[in-house]
Amino acid sequence: MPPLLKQIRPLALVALSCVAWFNAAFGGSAEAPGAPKKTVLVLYGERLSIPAMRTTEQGLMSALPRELPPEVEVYFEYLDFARFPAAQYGDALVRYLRARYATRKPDVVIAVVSSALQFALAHRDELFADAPIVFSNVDHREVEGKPLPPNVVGLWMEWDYQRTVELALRLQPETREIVCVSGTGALEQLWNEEARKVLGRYAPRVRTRWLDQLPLRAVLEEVARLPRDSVVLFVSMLRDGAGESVLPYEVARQLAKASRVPVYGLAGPLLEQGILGGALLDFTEVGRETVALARRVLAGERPPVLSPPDPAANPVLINWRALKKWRLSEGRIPAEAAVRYRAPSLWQLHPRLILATAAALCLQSLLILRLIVQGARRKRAERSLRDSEERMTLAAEAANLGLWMWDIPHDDVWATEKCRSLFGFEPGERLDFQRFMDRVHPEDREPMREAVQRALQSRRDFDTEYRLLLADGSVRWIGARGHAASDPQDRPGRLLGVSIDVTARKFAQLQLQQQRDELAHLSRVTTLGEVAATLAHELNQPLAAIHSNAEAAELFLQKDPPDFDELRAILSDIRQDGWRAGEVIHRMRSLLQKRPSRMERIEVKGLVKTSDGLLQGVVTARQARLRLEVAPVLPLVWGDAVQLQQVLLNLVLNALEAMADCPIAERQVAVRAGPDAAWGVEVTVSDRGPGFCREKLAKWSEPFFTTKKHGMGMGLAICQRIIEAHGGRLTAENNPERGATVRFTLPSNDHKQEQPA
Amino acid sequence: MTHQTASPSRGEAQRPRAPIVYVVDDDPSLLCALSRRLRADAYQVETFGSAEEFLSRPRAGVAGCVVLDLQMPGPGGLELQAALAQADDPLPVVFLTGHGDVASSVRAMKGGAVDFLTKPFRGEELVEAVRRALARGAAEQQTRRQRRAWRGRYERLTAREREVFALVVSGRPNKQIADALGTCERTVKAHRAQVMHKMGVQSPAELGRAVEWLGEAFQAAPPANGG
Repeated sequence: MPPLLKQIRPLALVALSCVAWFNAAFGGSAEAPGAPKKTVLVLYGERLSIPAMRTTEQGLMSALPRELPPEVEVYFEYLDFARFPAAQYGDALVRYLRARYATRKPDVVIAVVSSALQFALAHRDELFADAPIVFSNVDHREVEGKPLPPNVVGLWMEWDYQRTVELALRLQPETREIVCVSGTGALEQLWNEEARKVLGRYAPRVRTRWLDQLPLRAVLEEVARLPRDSVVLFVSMLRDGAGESVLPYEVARQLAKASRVPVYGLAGPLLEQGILGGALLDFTEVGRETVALARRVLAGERPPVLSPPDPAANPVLINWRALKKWRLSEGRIPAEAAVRYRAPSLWQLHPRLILATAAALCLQSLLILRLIVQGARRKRAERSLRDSEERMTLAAEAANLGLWMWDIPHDDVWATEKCRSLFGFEPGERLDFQRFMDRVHPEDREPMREAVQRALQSRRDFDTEYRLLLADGSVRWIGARGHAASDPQDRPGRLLGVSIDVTARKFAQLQLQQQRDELAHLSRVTTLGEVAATLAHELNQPLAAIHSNAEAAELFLQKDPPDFDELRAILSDIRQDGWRAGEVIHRMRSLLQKRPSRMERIEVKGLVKTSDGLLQGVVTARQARLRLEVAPVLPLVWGDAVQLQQVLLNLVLNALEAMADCPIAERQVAVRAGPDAAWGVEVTVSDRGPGFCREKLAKWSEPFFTTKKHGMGMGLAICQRIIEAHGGRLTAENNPERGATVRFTLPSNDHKQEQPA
Repeated sequence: MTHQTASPSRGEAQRPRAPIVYVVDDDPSLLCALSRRLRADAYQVETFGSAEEFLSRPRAGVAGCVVLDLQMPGPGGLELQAALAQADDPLPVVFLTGHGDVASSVRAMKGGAVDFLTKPFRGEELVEAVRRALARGAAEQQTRRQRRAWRGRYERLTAREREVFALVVSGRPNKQIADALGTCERTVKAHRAQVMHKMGVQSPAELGRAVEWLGEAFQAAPPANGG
């Protein structure tokens, strides 16, 4: 021993003892001396890759922790006799197992499949002494005739042919032939025998054909050619007709794939390989029951061998996918059957996810919908706004309107191009109120400022006309209409409105006014033509008087002594008559004058008196009488004295004209002036002539309509226009007894009517 | 209306009294001036403001004339003229007019107006017109007086004498007159003398002039039959 090792040895000993202590202290897997620990040994006769084995093991494993107390130690051995036959490896296996379990004598041995049971029974004495054996997955026919030792119990394995066939006939009532596929192994032959017995019962109705001697390949070819009214019953196949060892699990998959008709089976694991279904032996359940049996045995019970096996325990299972593949009606599925592999609805798989997704989708859809609606609404609003704007612009442009808005707090004026061009501003120029005002004609600035102030104070609309004095010295008339809007604090926030060039209209208006004045003048001259002759008479009166008086004075002077009193009287009279003549001239001139209308306060009384003076001559010449009835107190009216005089003159002349054919005694014209109901003055001119004929009464105010031989037909039309320009009304009617009355009203001055332009 | 009378004394309607000029005009100022002018020429003047006033006021049956404004309110100058013409002794009329209204002037002249003055006229024209009117008025009155005298005599003749009168002025000899009346020539002669005497004439020629004065009142002889 090298010196180094010698030194290490005591150290290793210490370490080992430490481990031992550790194990003892913390209850490790190391066996505690003296503890009554139970042991179970599970022997699997075949490898776990065989599905029947695997599912059995799954059931077994799942049941172990549940059925057995936790301190029970369980060992597993996988003997794989199919590939390592007991005949060849049995001895070695025994040695191996004896070595392994010499100190771990199992209290129960579980043997799965008959090969394991046979091995356990064969080597029981040398391996497990008298430990009880629990077996499973063993066909009772395999051990038939061989008596089992007393402490050997287990579960017999049994295929359920009858319920499988019934399921097939139920799902496919048209079936005429059942094709049984099976192998040539010893076990299969046992099963075939049993199957033949069961199938024999359906003999007249359903034929049975066996494919149990063919190699797998031939079987597959055969099933691919089967008629439609047949089904395949896969009994099992561990070894095919060619002697090849096969896995029934794998065979089932190939069969299901190759077959032209549905394949029914007997073992649970095959269902997932594509067979349609059957009353399938549930190996998982077998595994669980095996463990339950082992627990009872371990507890000291002596349960009997479960015999005979109850095939009715096998659940009827149907592969939903296959059902769909063969297009078989779900309605035919018997009530006891359970459907597997039903493509689970997504709802079943992920209810929460779906709910959440659906909710999210809903929410999202709602959001999207809202966005779309909002978008559409906005688009509509935008479009309508755009349309409205376009319409507005179009209308504004078509109407030559300039739009503007004055932001009062910031003194900023926004104006359209049109508006700017009206005022002669550049497109980009910044505008404020003062700049606007600078363009206004100096004479109109103050009224304009007042109008704006009024609109802002009263929050009323603003409507005014004013002139612009442009840079080139030309004048432009602008009509502006606006509206004052308040800000939230109820202060004037802005003034917005439109402006339009009304120059042409204004000029036309002025021209029209001028024409009207001219027409009125023409009419006056015409009227005066009628009056003229009598006016001469009127002038003659004082002139004749003056002549006579002057001559008389001369004669009186020649007397001795001259009569000075008489002479004084004469001179006074001459002066009076001279003045009178002057008056006549003055009246005539004022009527003949061509001049724009001039509004002033007028006393109607004076108006009537003057007219009387002018008319006296005509009235006399016509041998008529003029009666005047003027109320003592009358409101003043606002008007043009000459024009109103003209109206009165015209009406009286018309009245005189109307009575030309009346007897002299009846020729009377009455002019009455009195207050009217609306604080104005009403003037009527009545005659006692024949009155208006119906035609004239209907059209009396139309220009050029006349019933006179020499009339222009302008008289009444002009009279009416004049009266309307004064804000009054002129009407004509026939008197109840005889004659006609023309009446006009004039609003009182107290109303402070606006001066017509 | 001013009523001015310039006649100093009224009372008895004596023939040689100065004639009166009646002035009718609705214009007081002119009325006064006209009156004054006429008085300056020593005419007696009475003034009236309207035709009605003139008609309604009793007047002394003094000779005179009327100066009348053609155009007056109410009944005018022409109406007054027509009314005046109804009188036994119609007053001559001088019309004043403001303008030369032809229709009116024609009517006025037809109605017997002496003159037609268009204003303005000179006072002299008026005085001259008034003088003429008064002269004519006087002449007409003279004529009317003579005619009335002839008529008075004629009315005193018997029916037979008027027959003889008519036959005499028709220029027939007594014999034929006697034949026509169925009487003798001597009886005719007696009647004839009676007629001459009653009519106050000396000769048959004068008798013929009397027929002119009698005018319509004269009953002419039926035309001679046979002959």
